[in-house]
Amino acid sequence: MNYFITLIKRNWLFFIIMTAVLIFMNILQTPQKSTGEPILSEFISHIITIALINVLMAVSLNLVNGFTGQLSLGHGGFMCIGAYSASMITKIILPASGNAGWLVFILALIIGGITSGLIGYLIGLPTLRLKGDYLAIVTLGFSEVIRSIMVISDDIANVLNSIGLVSISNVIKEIGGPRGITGIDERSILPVVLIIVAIGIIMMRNLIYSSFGRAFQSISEDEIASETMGINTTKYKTMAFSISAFWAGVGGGLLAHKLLFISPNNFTFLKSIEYLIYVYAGGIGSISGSILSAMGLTCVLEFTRTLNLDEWRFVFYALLLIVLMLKKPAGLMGNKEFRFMIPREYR
Amino acid sequence: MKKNEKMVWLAIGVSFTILYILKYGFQGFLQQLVNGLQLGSLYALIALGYTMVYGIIKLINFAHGDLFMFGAYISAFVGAYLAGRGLIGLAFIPAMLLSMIVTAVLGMSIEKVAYKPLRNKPRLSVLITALGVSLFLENFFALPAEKVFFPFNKIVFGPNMLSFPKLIDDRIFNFAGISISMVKSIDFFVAILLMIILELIVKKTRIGKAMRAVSFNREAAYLMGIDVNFIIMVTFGIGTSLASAAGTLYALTFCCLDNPFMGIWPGMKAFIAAVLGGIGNIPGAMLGGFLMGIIETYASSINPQLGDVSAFSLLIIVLIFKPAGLMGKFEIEKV
Amino acid sequence: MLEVNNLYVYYGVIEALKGISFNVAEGEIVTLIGANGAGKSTTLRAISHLIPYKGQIKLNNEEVRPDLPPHKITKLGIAHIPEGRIIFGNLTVKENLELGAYTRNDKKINEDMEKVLSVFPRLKERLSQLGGTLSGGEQQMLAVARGMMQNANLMLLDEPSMGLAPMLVQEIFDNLVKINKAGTTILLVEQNANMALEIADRAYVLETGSIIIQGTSKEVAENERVKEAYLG
Ligand SMILES: Nc1ncnc2c1ncn2[C@@H]1O[C@H](COP(=O)(O)OP(=O)(O)OP(=O)(O)O)[C@@H](O)[C@H]1O
Ligand SMILES: [Mg+2]
Repeated sequence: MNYFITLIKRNWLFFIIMTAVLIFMNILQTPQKSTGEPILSEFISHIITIALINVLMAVSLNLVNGFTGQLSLGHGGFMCIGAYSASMITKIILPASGNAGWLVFILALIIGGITSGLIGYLIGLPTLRLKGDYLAIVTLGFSEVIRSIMVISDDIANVLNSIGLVSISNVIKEIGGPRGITGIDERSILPVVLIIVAIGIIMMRNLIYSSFGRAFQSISEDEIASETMGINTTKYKTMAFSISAFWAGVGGGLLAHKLLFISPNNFTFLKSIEYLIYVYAGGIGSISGSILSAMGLTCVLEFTRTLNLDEWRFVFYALLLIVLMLKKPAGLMGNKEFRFMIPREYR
Repeated sequence: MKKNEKMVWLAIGVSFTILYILKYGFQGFLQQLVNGLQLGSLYALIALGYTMVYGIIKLINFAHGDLFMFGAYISAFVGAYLAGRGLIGLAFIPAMLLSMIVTAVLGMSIEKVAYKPLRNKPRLSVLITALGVSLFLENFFALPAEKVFFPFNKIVFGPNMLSFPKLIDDRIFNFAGISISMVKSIDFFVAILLMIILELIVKKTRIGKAMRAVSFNREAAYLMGIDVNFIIMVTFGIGTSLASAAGTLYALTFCCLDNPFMGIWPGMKAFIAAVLGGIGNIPGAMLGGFLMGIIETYASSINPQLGDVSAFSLLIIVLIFKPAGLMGKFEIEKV
Repeated sequence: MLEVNNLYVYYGVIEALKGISFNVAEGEIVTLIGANGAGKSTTLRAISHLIPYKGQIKLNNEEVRPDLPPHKITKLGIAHIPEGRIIFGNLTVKENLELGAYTRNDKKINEDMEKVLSVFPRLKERLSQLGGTLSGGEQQMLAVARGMMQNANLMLLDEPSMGLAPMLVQEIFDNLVKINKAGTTILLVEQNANMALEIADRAYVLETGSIIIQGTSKEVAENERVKEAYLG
C-alpha cells in the first residue's frame, strides 16, 4: 500500500494528465451528432493502440538492452508466452465469467506477464553469464524454441493423450499448433491499453531511477568492475531480464486481445527485431526515445498501409533504419530523456 | 572440455544413434547421414562467411543469408540464359562463378556503404544497420517489377516463385540400398573443393596472412603496412561469394527459389552453425555446418517440425555448456 | 630526419599533448622519457597516424600529409613497435616476421630474415610455434624482430624493456645499438631512463604532455630534476 502512495505522490501530475487524456479520448471516440462518426476513427484508434503496445514492448526491451547493457534478441518469444497464456485463460474462463469480464482480462494479462517473467527468469539464470553476442544468439534461439513448441503443440498433445494425460492434453490442444488461437475476445480497447502501458512505463522508469537502476547502469557501463565492487551482477541481470519479460508478456496479452487471432507466425524473430529497431532508433538508455520511436515508426508503417504502396513499406522502413543508424548511431535521443520523464529529484 | 564431460557427450551421441538405428534400421541411418552431409555442406559454406566477417570486424552480418538468396537468383538468371542456348550439365559452373563475382561485388558495396562508416562507433549500431540491410535486401528484391519505376524494375526479383533451370539431369545411384543423388553429391564435392581453396587462401597467401593479422589486432596490422580497409573488403568479398556458391548449389538441388525471403532460414541456421563451431573460427564453421546439417536431417526425419527446433536446441545446449562453441576460445567481451 | 612541430593531441576534452616539438637526425638514437601517462605512447601513435593530431610532422624535410592512412606511413619507411608486445598470437613466428616485410617486394627479404634470426637466435628455434604461445620476453623479441623486418629508415620503439628481466633488457638494448650502427635511426620511448640514456645520443623529457627538458644524453642525465625523478 505504501508503495502505491509513493507511486501516486511521485507521479501525481502524470496521473492528472492521464485522466485528462482519457476523458478527452472518450470525447474523441463518441460518434459526433452531425456525422455519426467519431473524430477518432476506428482505424486511427486501432493504430494508436498497436503503437502503444509497441511502446510497452520497446521500453521493456530497453530495460535489458539499454539500461543493463545486455543484448537480448528474444523479446518476441516472451511476447508469445504472454499472448498465449492470456488468451488461453480468457478463452476458457471469459464465457463463464459474466460481469467480471474485465477483471478476468486484467488477471489474464497479469498471469501472462508472470508466466513470461518466470520463464524469463529460468532462461536468464543460465544464459546471462554469457556475454555480448553470445547472449544475443541464445536469447534468439530461446524465442525460436518457444515459438516452435507452439507450432508442434498438437503433436505434444497427442503424445500426452496417448499416455493417458487427457485433460492436460485437451488444454494443450487449445494452443492450436500452427493454426493458432482464434476468436479471442476484444478487450484491448484504447483507454485500457493506454492505462496499462502508462503504468508499465512509470513502474519501469521508477525502477531505473532506484538503487536497482543504478546497479543496472553500473553493469551496463562495466560489468567486471561492478562485480569487483560487490554488485551481484547475476542477480541484477536476471532481475532486469525477468521484469522485462514480464512486461513483454503483458504486451503480448494486450496484442492478442487486439488482433483477436494469434498464431506462432506473429512471433517470429522478425518481431524481436522490430522491437530492437525501436529501441536503437530511439536511443539505448532513453525511455523517451523508445516511446518516440515506437510511436513514430509504428504510425509511419501503419499509415503507409493506406497508400497502396504495400510492397514498398518495408523497403522504406529498412532504408530509414540504415540512414538513421549511419547519421545518428546513438539513436534519436541518445541517452537523454524528456524532462518530464525524469523524477523531480533527478532533474 | 574436460575429459569426463567429453565422455558424457559421446555417450549421449551414441545412445541417440543406437535408438535411431533401432527404430529406422541401419540403412535408414546411413541414408540420412548422406542427406545430412549434403545439407551440411551448404550450411558450412554459408557459415564460413558469417565466421570470416565476424572474425575480422566482430559483426554478425545479418544480411548474409540474403546474399545467399541473391547468389541463388543471379545463378538462376545466368543458368536460364545458358539453358536457353542448350548449354547444360557443366554449365552450372560458369553460372556459379558469375554469381559468386556479382554477389561479392554486392557484399563489398554493402560493407563500404553501410558498415564502414560505423567502424569506430559502438558495435551495436552496426548490428542494427546489418538488420536494416537485411530487411532492405529482402523487401527490395521482392518488389513486383510493375510496381517499380525504371531502372529498378530491371533488377528486382519479384515476390513469386522462380523455377531454376534444369541444368543437370539428376540421376539416382543405388549403393548398398542407399540412394545417392548426383546433384547432391555435386553439392557436397563442390562445397569441399571451395573449402579447400579457402583454406589455401587463408593459410598460404599474403592476403590470407593479412586477413588473420587484421582479425587478431587491427592496429598492429596497420603498423605492418596492411591496408586494413582493403583486407576487410576482401574478406567480405570472399565470405559473400561462398554464400552465393551455396545459393547456386541450393537452387540446383531444390529446383526452385521460393521468394527473396528464402535466405532467412538457411542464413539463420548457418549462423547457428558458425556459433556452434565457435564464431570467428574457420574450421569451426565447417564442423558446425556439417553437424548442423546432419542433426537437422535426423531430427526432421523423425518429425518434420523437429528440424528447426533441433537447430535451436542444439545451439542453446552448446552455448550453455561450452559458450565459445566447439572450437572457439572463450573471451569476455564488452558490448 | 624526423621533425615534429607543435604537436597537439586530444582525447575528447583531455589535452594529452600540448604542442610539443622535437627532432631526430639521421643515424641518431633519440630517447623520449617520462612518467606514466606523460604522453609518450601518444606521441608515437600520432607519428604513425593511429590517432588524429594537430601540428606538423616532417619526414626528410617534407611534411607528412595529416590525412594519410596509417598503413601508408609504414611505406614512408617508419617502423613502429607498439607498447605491450603486440604480436599476432594466431600466426606462427615465421608468419609474424613475414608480415613485418608485408610492404616489401625486394629480393632481400629472406636474407634479412636470416639476419634477424641471427640477432634473436631464440626465435629461430621457434619459427613454427604460434606467436601467442611464446613467453613474454620472447614476444617482445618477436615484436622487435618483426619491426626489423620492415627494413625501415626510422624505428619508433615504445618501451621495449617493459616487464623484462634485466638480462633480456640488456640483450635487446645491445641489439638496438647494433641496428642503429647498421644505419637505422631510432626514436626510443622508455621509462627505464638509465638504460635509455646510456645508449641514446640525445634525450627529451616529457611531462604531462609537454617537453620540459632536452639535450644530449649526458646533459639530461646530469640534470638535477631528471636525477631526482627518473634516475633515482
Ligand atoms: N584512448 C584514450 N582515451 C582517453 N585518454 C587516453 C587514451 N589514451 C591515452 N589517454 C590518456 O592520455 C595520456 C597520455 O597517455 P600515453 O599512453 O601517451 O602515456 P604514456 O606516456 O605512454 O604512459 P606509459 O608510460 O604508462 O605508457 C594519459 O593521461 C592517458 O590516460
Ligand atoms: Mg605508453
